[in-house]
Amino acid sequence: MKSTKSDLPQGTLDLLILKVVALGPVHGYAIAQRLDQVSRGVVQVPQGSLYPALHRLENRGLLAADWKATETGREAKFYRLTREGRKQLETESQSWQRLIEAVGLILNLSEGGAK
Amino acid sequence: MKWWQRLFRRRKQEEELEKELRFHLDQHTADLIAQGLDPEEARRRARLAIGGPEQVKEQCRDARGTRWLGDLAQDLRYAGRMWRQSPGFTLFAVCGLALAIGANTAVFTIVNAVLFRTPPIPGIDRIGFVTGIDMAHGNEEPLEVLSYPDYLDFKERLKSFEYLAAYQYRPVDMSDDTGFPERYLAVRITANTLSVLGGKPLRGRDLEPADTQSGAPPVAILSHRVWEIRYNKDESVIGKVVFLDGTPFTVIGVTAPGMRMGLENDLWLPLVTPQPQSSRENRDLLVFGRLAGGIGISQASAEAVAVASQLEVEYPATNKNISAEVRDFNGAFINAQIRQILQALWGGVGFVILIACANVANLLLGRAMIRSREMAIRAALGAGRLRVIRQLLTESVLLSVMAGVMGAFLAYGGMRAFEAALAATGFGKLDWAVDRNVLLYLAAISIGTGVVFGLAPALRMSRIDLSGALKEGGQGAGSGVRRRLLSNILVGAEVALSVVLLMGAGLMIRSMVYAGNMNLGVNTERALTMRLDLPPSKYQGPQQQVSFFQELTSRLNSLPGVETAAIMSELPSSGPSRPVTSPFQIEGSPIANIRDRPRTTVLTIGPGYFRCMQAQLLVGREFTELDGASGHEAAIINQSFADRHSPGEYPLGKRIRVDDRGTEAWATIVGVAADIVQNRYSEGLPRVYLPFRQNPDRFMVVAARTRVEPASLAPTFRQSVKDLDANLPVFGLRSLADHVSATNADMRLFSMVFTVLAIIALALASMGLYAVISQSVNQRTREMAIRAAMGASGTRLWRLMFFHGMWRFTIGLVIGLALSFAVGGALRSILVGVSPSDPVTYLLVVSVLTIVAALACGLPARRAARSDPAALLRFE
Repeated sequence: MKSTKSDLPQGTLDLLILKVVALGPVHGYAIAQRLDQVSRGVVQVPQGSLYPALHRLENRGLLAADWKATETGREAKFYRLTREGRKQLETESQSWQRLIEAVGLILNLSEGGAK
Repeated sequence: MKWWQRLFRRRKQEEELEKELRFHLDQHTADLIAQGLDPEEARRRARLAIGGPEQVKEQCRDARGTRWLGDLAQDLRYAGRMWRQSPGFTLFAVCGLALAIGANTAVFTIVNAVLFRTPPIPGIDRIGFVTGIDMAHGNEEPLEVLSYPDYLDFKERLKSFEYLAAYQYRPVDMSDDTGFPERYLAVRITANTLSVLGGKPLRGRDLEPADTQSGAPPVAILSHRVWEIRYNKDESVIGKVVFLDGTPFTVIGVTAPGMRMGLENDLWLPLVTPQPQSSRENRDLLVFGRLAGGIGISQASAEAVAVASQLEVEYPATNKNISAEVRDFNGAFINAQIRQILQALWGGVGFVILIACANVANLLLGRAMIRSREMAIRAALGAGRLRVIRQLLTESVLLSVMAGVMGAFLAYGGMRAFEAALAATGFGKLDWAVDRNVLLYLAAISIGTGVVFGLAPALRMSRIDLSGALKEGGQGAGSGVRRRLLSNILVGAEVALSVVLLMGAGLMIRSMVYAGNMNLGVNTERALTMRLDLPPSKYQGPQQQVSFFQELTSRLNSLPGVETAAIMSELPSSGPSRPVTSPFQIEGSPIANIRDRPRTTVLTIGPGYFRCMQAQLLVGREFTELDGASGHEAAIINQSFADRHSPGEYPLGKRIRVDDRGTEAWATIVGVAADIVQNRYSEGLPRVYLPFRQNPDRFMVVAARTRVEPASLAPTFRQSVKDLDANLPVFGLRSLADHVSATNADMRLFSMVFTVLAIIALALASMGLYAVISQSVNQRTREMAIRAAMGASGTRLWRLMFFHGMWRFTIGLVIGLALSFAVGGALRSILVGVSPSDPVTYLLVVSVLTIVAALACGLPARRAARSDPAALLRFE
């Protein structure tokens, strides 16, 4: 089971959380589920590190939180993106995009060059 | 939410965190159940997925910014619990630290009062003193003063100062219709200086330029102290006429409390300027001013040096080798020797606190063993190494802060005692206060020591072999060879230092006892003394001086409470530490060259001196009123003089002549007196007594043997002087016993300081020894139990542990004794009647220390001896 999933690269968890929350106010468990579904089980999102990350982002002012009732009637902590959070999401996705391109370029290059 | 809001909503936040995680777990469980798992299994899976809930919480807390503050509160709670659990250890450590912190704070309070505190003059940090430096004599003894023409040149050329003032000190005799005349210290100062410096008079006005013109009506400003003591803060004093050295002055103002320029003066008088006749060689002015904006002391100093070298070139005859320097207030007024003594003292107590730190560090290292299991559990529960170190440091800082609070009380008590000692020893008053500097210092050492002694043990304890510590049940963080070496060195150094301090204290106390019991050769009971300084304007010639003192003694002699009164140039137990001697010749063997003549100390006395002092005359008689008159020149010699200069001869009738003392005529020896100790440094020196009439002086001491308590006659004595001369102040009015005690004040103060330091050092060293032995007993319980099980007797075990401690002590003792020889040599100059290698002191110190060390080692060793092997091994 472990071999089929890879660990999340450092620093990408924050980006993923921001992206999920950007879709609308959502509580922690829903974020975990969404991440699991979206990554189709390819990426291992350790649920244990989800909450510290949420708290960290909240502390940095990128996320805000309100207690609201869920559809089942229970109170849950719903996170939403702040204006800074949205800005951060944009810049981070752009730099992530650039990184992927660059890494891809290098990988293609070395494959061709080594043989 | 602001960080401080978060801090206060800590509880709410914890609840929310709990709620959030529970929601997650519940939802996950519900989903898993929906997928068909049974509830038990679903709950287990959900928990596994999230990891340990406590660890997640811990990480969430970390993610918050105020983590450290919350932790601090938590750490403090743990630390408090920790120390409550082992009250013995806590008390032990806190007391030792409190002693050291208290001593440090007290010494710093003194240092602060003397070296750092400045008078309450606004902007005093912008005041610079232009100090003359005589390059021929170096910086050690600064000239300080400048001449009036030099002052004018500096005033004109120095651009670093906004304003440059000059002043000088003058003792003056003040009299008025309110009380007895007094001798006061006056400052003569340039116009408007007080106002310019920000020390505007509290009442009345400042000295104005018109007041300093020659021929202006004389005016004076009173210091706050004089206004308070002499005039009881009477507002009508402004405009009052007082007599200074017999001249009428009008009081025009009163300065604010604490206003002073260096020495504490009583009066402010105008410095008459200009002084057209003043020569450049006549250096008698102190010069200071307010620095111009943006100019520092060192810049001003550089400019002053430049101006001084210009003056050297322009006036080589008078200003060769005269340089200058600008100093700040305390730099100008605190003499280098006091600074050095205080700095040495400060360094000394600094060492004491290091020892206290070493002690506690040693103790904490010992506890590392006991606590290794606790540390392991903490680590296992997810505490990082930094977190553990922080927890341990909080514990040690809490310990040192408790000690700091206790030390503050000790320091305060110490300062009160020091103040009392200063008053009792006649040193006067120290103007100390618990100001910001002192509080900052106390806070800094209280927290600092905690970090210093806590860091090494914390680093050590936090480095834990987890499984080992848990398995072995407490033996994990055992004692390394290096730790044992470190603690041995610490204990040895402590013992050595306390040996040195005890030796110093012992020698000083022995000197003090010797000086206190020294047979002065006079009776100090029931004798009143006073000093008089006849103003030269009124008592110019010897005739006036002789008749004044003749009249005064006869009046005093007629008082019912007085047995005999007599005058003398100096009281017993006074005078300079280096005796002043004069060359003399004995008739019949004159020596032409003055340098080759023998020398003797000389004392001028009036008739009745020996009767008044109740001193013994061995042969011959006292001086009479006639002695010293022309044709009746006489002298009395002391025993030491007779032994040295006319051994085996009958001295009476021989004639001697002392150079530079009164007449040129040969004086006939009329008596031989037993030695009187004039001061503790001149014991056994030859002395010649000359009659007052033969060698008159303006400055004399009057003493009287009384029939009643001497102090009760003081007002009568003052009145008798006032009846003779209404403007003549009396000073040094006190009993002979008080005088003798005051002259030994320095020695008492020194020995007191030494004793206190030595006791602290002894206490700390014995605590250190006790703790180290105690701990090795604890660490070796298993070994002891095995030894006991193998048949070792209790005595044998006791001996093992006892000598284990004693050899460390012995090494420290030997090093300390070696150091004491060096320190004793340095004390030689202030010791009296005791050699620096005094065997009694050495024996005493060694035995006291050995007893203390034996107790410190013996008590814990007893525990080892009583160990019950069965119980111990079972416990393991």
